[in-house]
Amino acid sequence: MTRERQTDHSPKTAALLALREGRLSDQGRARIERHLKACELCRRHMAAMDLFERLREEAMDMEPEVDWNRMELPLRREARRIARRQRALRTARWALPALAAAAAFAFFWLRDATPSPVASTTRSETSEAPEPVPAPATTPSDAPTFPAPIAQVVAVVGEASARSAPSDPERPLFAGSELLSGEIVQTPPGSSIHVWLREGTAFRLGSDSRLALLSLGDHVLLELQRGEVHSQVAPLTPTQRYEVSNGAQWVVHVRGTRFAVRRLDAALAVDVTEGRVEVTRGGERIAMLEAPSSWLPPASSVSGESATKPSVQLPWIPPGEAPSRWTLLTLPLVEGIEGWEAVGIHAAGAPLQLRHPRGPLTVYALGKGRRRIPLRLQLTGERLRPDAATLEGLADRLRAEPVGHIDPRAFARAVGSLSPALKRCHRRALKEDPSLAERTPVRLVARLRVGRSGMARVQRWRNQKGAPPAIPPSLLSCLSEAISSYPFPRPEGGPVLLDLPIRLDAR
Amino acid sequence: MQESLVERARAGDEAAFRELYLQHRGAVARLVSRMMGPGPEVEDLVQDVFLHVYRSLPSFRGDAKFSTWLYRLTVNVVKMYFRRKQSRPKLTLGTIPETKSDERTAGRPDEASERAERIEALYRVLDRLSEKKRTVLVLHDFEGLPADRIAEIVEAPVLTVRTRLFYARKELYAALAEDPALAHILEALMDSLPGRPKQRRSASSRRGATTPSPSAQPPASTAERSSDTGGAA
Repeated sequence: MTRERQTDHSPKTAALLALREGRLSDQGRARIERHLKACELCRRHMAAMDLFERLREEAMDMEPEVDWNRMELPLRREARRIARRQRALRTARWALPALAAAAAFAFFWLRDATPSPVASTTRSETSEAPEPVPAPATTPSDAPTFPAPIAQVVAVVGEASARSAPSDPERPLFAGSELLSGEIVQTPPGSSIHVWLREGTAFRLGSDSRLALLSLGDHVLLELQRGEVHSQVAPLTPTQRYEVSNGAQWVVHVRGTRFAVRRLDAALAVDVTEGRVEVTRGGERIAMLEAPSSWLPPASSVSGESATKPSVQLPWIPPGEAPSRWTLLTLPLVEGIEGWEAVGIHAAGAPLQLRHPRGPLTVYALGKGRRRIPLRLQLTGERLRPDAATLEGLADRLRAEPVGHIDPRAFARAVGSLSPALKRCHRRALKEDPSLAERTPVRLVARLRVGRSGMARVQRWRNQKGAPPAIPPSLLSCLSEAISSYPFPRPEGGPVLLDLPIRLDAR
Repeated sequence: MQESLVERARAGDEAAFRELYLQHRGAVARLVSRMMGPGPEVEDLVQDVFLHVYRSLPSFRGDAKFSTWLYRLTVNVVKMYFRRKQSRPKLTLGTIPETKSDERTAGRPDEASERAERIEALYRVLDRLSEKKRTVLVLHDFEGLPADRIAEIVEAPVLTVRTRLFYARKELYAALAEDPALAHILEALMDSLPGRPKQRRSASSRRGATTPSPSAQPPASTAERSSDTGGAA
């Protein structure tokens, strides 16, 4: 097609769509394909269709980030208000006729009665008054189902135990177990436990940790004896307190915040990702930490504000007030399933138990090599444990995942087209650091995961010996970017993991 | 099951309200997010939708399926938001959340930002469509609803829905083809179409200092089954 024809030509979307969707006859397809070979405009339009398809899939993979806890309270208030209004309407609907009937009855009764005021009075006092309008049956209010000084375990990764005193025998904890003030909670290495204290407030006791619940209720006082505890605390009223101490003089005081405390020999290290916490020692303020901050005590080798990014692994906070009525979900480890992920809890190498409101829930079974398969559950009843057949099916799928396949020739073509972008990265790196030229040729291997949409992600870089490559991070970053923004052919049947060898040569 | 739940909620049963919310909140959040693009407003609008659901449920007559009614209400809440704002919100990279798998695989921030840029570009292009076209496109291409169901939701004839969908796609493809942020992907996709003019490809395959090795052909399944799984595990 000549250039003059191209400029006054507008792509026939309907025909191109029909070609994509395989709705054309052989003749029609051949005709459009012939046209496509020569028409740059239509090729661009066709590529845009493919691009939209890929972007759409990427966008659909992205779950919206919504903090459900935040809307719990206003929605519950609204539901309560509407429920009250509905009850009032129902009452009015039959109370009015009932009142009218009662008035008519009273009228006729009074008309027929003896006109003696005494008798009348006596009669009225002793008579069976018309039944008072009964209030409609009210649903029991959503009163908290456990009293304040009790906490409840809402999730367990691996195993955990509690005891009342150091000399007492340990009792194993499960999702749903209750904890009392004074108990000591403990997790072995590789396990963690999520404990719900009240609406919006919970903590997660990390791996190989021990925590004494010195006080629960309005004044929460936790003594971290070993390991780390991550807390999310709803805004406190003036009478409420939430403190984590090390059992000696160090205390972390908070007001509505997200923070983590780690036990260091005789002191505490603190990470704050939201809100503000105060660190005291012997009642004296040592630091006031504003989020985001990561703090180490002055006595430690690196004291004061740390340069590391603060990190808090948030506890699972079930929405609402009545976790005891929710479904207890047990996700065990079986051969082929190496862990689970649900509601933000990553239980690698450990079974997971969790309490969750009834309704749909998607959990992920984890396998080797970062493989994961979603499992959609409908939580009903008090307990749920996927049956053996489901677990076996998941394990089989995990073993087979990624199951996709890319046509080697199409992949080789894509790699050829990717080459200039990689070359640009290398040139830029050589400009920034000319000494890099002495270290070439460098051979790298990128482990790629090519998703269903054809978009790839570099999972890992290594040199030919399998070790991390000794080249500037900026170069690796540039190469990764180039690869991840390049559309590879879509794998058939699912994502694909593959190794892409790359040779960097300064010549 | 669903009907009895709706009936109970209509009668003012708080537990039924809550059950409905738990059952449908994910779908509502996804639809809002796809109509608006990711952003902090999504959360507020999801809450608005459920407040409207609670308030309007007593007047829900059951002529349509509850899910259709819910979709219609969600679409209307988003439309009202757009009208209130007069102009649609501008997206920012920082508001685009990572997918779960990215969190797990601890994807590099630059890769995440690349992905975020692509998604941002998609929503920027979607944003150029008229409200009606965008609604139909989102319901059809993102929510996977058939045209007759969309017709019920947007209260328009099926033929109108099909027409809006066609023109929405046409405009979208044209806009994607012109978006500078997506130009490099588009070029690569054009390369993969048959019959690419020679001079374009030769430029990219000329001798280069950096060459992916010819052994880069994907041993798709073999690569995965190789002994090198330690790093990914």
